[in-house]
Amino acid sequence: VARRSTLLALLAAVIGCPSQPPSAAKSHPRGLAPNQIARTVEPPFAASIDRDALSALSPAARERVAASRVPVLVPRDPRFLAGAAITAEEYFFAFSGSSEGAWISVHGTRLEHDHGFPPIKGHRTVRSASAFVTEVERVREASWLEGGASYVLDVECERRDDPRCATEQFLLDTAEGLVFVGPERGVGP
Amino acid sequence: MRRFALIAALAGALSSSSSRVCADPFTYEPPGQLVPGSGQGRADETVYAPNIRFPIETGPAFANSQVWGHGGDSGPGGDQCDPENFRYPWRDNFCETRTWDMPLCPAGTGHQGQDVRASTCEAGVHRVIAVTDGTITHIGSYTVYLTAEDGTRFDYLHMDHVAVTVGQRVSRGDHVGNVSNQFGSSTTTVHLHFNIQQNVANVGTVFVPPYKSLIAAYQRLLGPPISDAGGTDEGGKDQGGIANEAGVEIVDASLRDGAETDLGTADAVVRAVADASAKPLQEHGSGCACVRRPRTPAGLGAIWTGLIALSLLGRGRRGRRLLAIAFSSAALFAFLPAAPALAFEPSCRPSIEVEADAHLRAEIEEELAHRGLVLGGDRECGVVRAGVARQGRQLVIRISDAFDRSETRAVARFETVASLIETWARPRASARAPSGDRGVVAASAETSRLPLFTPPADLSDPPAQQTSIAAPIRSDAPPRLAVQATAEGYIDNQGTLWAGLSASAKVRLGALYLGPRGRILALARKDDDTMFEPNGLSVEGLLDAETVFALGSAAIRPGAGLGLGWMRRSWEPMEEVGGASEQRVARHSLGPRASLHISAAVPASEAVSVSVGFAADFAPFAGEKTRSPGGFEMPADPFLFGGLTLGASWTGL
Repeated sequence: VARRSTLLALLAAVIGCPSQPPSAAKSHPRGLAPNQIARTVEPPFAASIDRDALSALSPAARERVAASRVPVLVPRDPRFLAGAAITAEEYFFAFSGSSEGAWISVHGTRLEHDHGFPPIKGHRTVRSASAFVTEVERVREASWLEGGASYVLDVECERRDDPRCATEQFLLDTAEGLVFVGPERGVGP
Repeated sequence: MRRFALIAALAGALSSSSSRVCADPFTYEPPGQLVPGSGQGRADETVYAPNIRFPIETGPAFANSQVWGHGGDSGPGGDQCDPENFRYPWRDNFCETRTWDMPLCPAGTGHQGQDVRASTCEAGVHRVIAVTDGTITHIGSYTVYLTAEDGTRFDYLHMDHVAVTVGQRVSRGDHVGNVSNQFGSSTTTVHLHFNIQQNVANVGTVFVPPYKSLIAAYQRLLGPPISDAGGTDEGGKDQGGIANEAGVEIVDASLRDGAETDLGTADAVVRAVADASAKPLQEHGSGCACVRRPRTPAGLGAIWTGLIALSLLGRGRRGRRLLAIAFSSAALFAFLPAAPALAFEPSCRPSIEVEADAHLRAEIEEELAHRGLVLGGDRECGVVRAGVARQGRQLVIRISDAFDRSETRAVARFETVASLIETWARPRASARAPSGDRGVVAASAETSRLPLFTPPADLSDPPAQQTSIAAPIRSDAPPRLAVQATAEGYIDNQGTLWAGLSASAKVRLGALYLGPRGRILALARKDDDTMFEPNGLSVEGLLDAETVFALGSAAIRPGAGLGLGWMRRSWEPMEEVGGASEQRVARHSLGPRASLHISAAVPASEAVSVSVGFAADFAPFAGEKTRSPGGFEMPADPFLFGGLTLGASWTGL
C-alpha cells in the first residue's frame, strides 16, 4: 500500500508540474437551471502558485483569490497586478487590471450552459489547449478550457495604434504567461 | 399689416399646436436575417439569457446594424441620425461580416453582439441599466462587463457616464452608464454594443446570439410585466415568483397557494368597472405610443413672429432692408436646427387613473409620487387605468391600458401596487420626464369622475390573462413618395414682399428625395417710394432634391433646386401722379432659377408632417431697368429672394 501511495504521489506531482489542475467532475446543484452544469474543479497544486504574482495583488484581491471556487489565473506582469480587482463568486472569478492605456481581464467559470451544441473545437492553441482567438470591437480575446474550467482573456487598448492591440501577439504572450495565484485549498461543491 | 397679422397668426398657431408622434408597433426581422449583403446570420431562436431586463432604460430602442445602417461605413449613406436608423423592424447583426473568429457563425467569422440604438441619436442621454443581478467584473476604456451569478457575461460597449465600479454588485435595473459613442481614444456611432458570453457545453466560452434575448426583454419593457419568470418561451430557471421590469416580486406566495377564488372575484369586479368606463380606452387604442408636445409654444411663437416682422416690415432705405434680410436669414438658419429640440420634449407618459376608495387612493397616490408619477396626465398618450380594492389582507389590482391589455394581480403592499402601475406607465414614458411634474400629485378631472371601485362578493370569474404584444415580422422600408405643399413668403433684394404657394412630388432615391417643384408667387406688398404701383407674378418650375436628418423626433430637411422661371412685372401709375401721358409699363423675363432651402418638420400623423423653413432663391438675368413713357425709371427685377416657408407633406407608398 505504501509503495502504491508513493507511486500515486509521484504521478500526481508529475501531472501537477505543468500547473494543470486535474480533471473536473460534473454536478447539478439546486438552484441551477436544467441546462446548467456545474463542474467541480480541483485547485492548482501549491507548487504551481506564483507567489510573486500573488503578493503583488492587494490584500482584498488576495482574499478573493482565496475564496474563489475557480482556480484564479492572472497575468504575470506586475504592472497589471497593482491595483487590479478580483471578483470571486460561486461559479466564476474575474480579474481586471490595467497599465498604461491597456486593460487585461480574465474570466474563469466552472458552470456550463448546455444548449445542445455538437462539439466545436477552436482551431487555435493557447496554453496547450484548443482555443478560440478573436477580436471584439478592437478588444483582443482568447478563450480555452483548462483543468475543467473555461477561461477568457481580454486585452483592450485605449489607443487604436497601441502595439499591444495592433496584433494578437501581446494577447497570446499574455495568455501563455498567465499564472495561477490560488486558491490553495480544494474547490468545488 | 393684415398680411403680417395673418403670417404671425399662422406662425403662432403652428408653434402652439401639439403634434402627435406615433411610434409603429414593435416588429422585428427573424434571427439571422441580416442586412442583405452584410453576411450570413445565425438563424437561432434560442433565448440564451432568459428573463434579462432590456439594457436601455426606456423605449423605443432600435436594434440594427451600425456598419450597414445610415452613417455606417458600408451603409446607404447619410448620417447616423437618419430617421431610418430609428425605425422598426429590428434587425439581427450577430455574425455580420467581420474578420473576427466566431465559432457560432456560419462563416466562422463575424460580429459578436447586437448593436442597439436608443430612441434618439444623442450621446450621453439614454440610460443603460443592468440586465440582471450580478457583479461588474471589468471596466476598460469603452467596455463594461457585468457577470451574472451563473458566469454569463454581459458586455456593454461604447457608453459614457459610467456609473459603476469594478467589483460593484448591481441589481437588475441599476444604472450602468449612458448610450454613447466611446471607443477608447476615438469614437464610433452612438449606440450600445451588447454581447452575451457564455461557457457553452461542448464548445467553451463563446459569444452567443443576443438577439432573441433582447427581443424578449424589449417586449417585457414595452408591455405589461411577464406573468411568470422562466416562461416556456425562454426556458431558463424558474425563479418561483412573478416579477415586473423593476424586478419587484408582485405576487405573494400565499396567493399562489390558494387565493384564486378571491382573485377571480375581485377581477370580475374590476373588469366590470373597466367595462363601464371602457370608452376612453377604445378612443386611445390606436397604437400611438408617444406624444411630444411643445414646451414653450408662446416663446417660440414670439421668436418666429419677431423674425417674420423683422423681415417683412422693415421700412426705410434699401441698405437697412438688406440688413434685415441678412439678419433674419442668419437667425433662421441658426434657429431651425435647434427649434425642434427647443420646442419638443418627450412627454409620453400615459394618463394614470386609479379607481379605489379614498384611503386606498391616497396611499397609492403617495407611493406614485415617490416614483415621480402623477395621477391624471395627458390622455393623448393613452390611459393606464388601475382598479384597486382590498380583499382580506390582499390588495387586488386590475390594470389595463390603451391597447386593451389587462392584468390582475393580488399584492400585499401599496409599494407593489405603485410599482405595478409604474411598470405599465413607464413603457410609454420617455427618457426625460418633464422636471416640473416630479413629485407632484394632482388628480385629473377625468379621474375624479370615475366610479368608485367596491368589490362585490358574488362574482367568480377567473382572472384575466394579460395579452401579449404582437411582434409580426414585416419589412418597413422608408416611404418612397413625398408630396409637399407650402405657403411661402419672401422679401426680395429690393425690399418688397412676395407671397405664394409651391407644390412638389418627390420620389426617394437612396438618401435623396428628388422630384419636380412648381411655385407661383405674387407681389404682395407695394413699395411706397415709387410713383408707380408695382405688380408682379413669378412662376417657376424646378427639379428639387431634399435629404432628411433626424433631430429628436423632428426631421431636418435641407434641399436645393434648379430650374426655369418666368416673371412678369408691371407698374400702374398711382392716382395722384397719374396723367394722360403716364401709361402702364409691363415687362416679362425668362431665366434660370436656383433655390436653397431648409425646413424642420414634425409628424402630425403617421404619414403627414408639418414644417417650417427658410428658403433663398436666386433669379439671375432678371429684367433690366425700364423707363416709363413719362421718363420715370422702373427698377430692375429682383434677383434674390429670402423668406419663410410653412408647409405640410405627405409621405407614403
